[in-house]
Amino acid sequence: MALELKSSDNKIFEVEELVAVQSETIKSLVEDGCADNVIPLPNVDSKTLELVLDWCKNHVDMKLDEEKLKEYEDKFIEVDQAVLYDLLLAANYLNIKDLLNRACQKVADMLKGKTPEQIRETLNIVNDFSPEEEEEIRKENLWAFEE
Amino acid sequence: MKKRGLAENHDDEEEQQDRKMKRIRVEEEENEEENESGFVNLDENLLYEVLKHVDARTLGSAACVSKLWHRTVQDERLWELICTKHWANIGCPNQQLRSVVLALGGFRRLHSLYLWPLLKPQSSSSSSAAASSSSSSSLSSSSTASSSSSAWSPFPPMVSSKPPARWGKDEMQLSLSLLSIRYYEKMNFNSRGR
Repeated sequence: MALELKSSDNKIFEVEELVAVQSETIKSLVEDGCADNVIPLPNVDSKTLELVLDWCKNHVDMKLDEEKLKEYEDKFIEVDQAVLYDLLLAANYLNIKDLLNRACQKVADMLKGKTPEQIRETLNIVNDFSPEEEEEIRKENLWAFEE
Repeated sequence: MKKRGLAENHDDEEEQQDRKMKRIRVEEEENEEENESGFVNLDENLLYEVLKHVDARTLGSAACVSKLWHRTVQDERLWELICTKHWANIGCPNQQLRSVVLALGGFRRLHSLYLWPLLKPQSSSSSSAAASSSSSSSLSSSSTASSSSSAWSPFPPMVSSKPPARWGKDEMQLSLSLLSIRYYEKMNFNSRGR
């Protein structure tokens, strides 16, 4: 059975139900009988949706081959920050647990062992603490900086 | 006359250089904006999902990044994950452990006061001695604690000799006892004030 998904930029993707229901969000729609027409996904653009569907398809195809799947996943997640962020949002919105986990893991790996300044620089986060607040919070977490 | 002419030329050159610098700076800023990924917009929920995958030290560092990150790191569930990672077989249901630890001050405190000093990679015996003294000084505010701090010191040398083993029931109960002693101390202190 094929489903039709529409991205935010109005591109239609035709997918096998088996592939699409890896998204818990889509699975609920199917189970509730709301999937007869095109399913609009206003939070996912076509570029990201294409990647996501590729992930889902390969997870169906390679289900029995753990090694091959791991190789695929490692290669899949080697993307730049902007794409990674979009994948993270899409996996969250579509509720695809293994993609969400993998994307989160990738971001977490980017943060490991970094000082707060380095984390801010990596992800372009603005420091909104006052100097006094920052001093206090550093003291609170001093153990993380001891060597 | 000549001198003034030269000075004017010099000013012109400086002006040109300034303009160039400004142009370059604007271009750089524009490039920066293009390279800015969406992570600056990461909301609390997704940040929580990401932080579930980091180790304790990174979590402590993350707390200092911004107000939103600090708020997210305070979530007890993240620290529960960090603490229970080290506990192989705790011999009681997780829900029970959770209610006890939360009542006594939470997983974050449990970790920073009693788990981290023992579990962090020991670089030398002097650093382990420092760790034991810093943790015993936080305990030594009342007489009940002084006996426990003497019981505390034998631990670090044991850990530094080999990689930290996964904790079992006994170690977990010890850390919970220490957490409850601290809780008790704080209770005592408040009633003394009355």
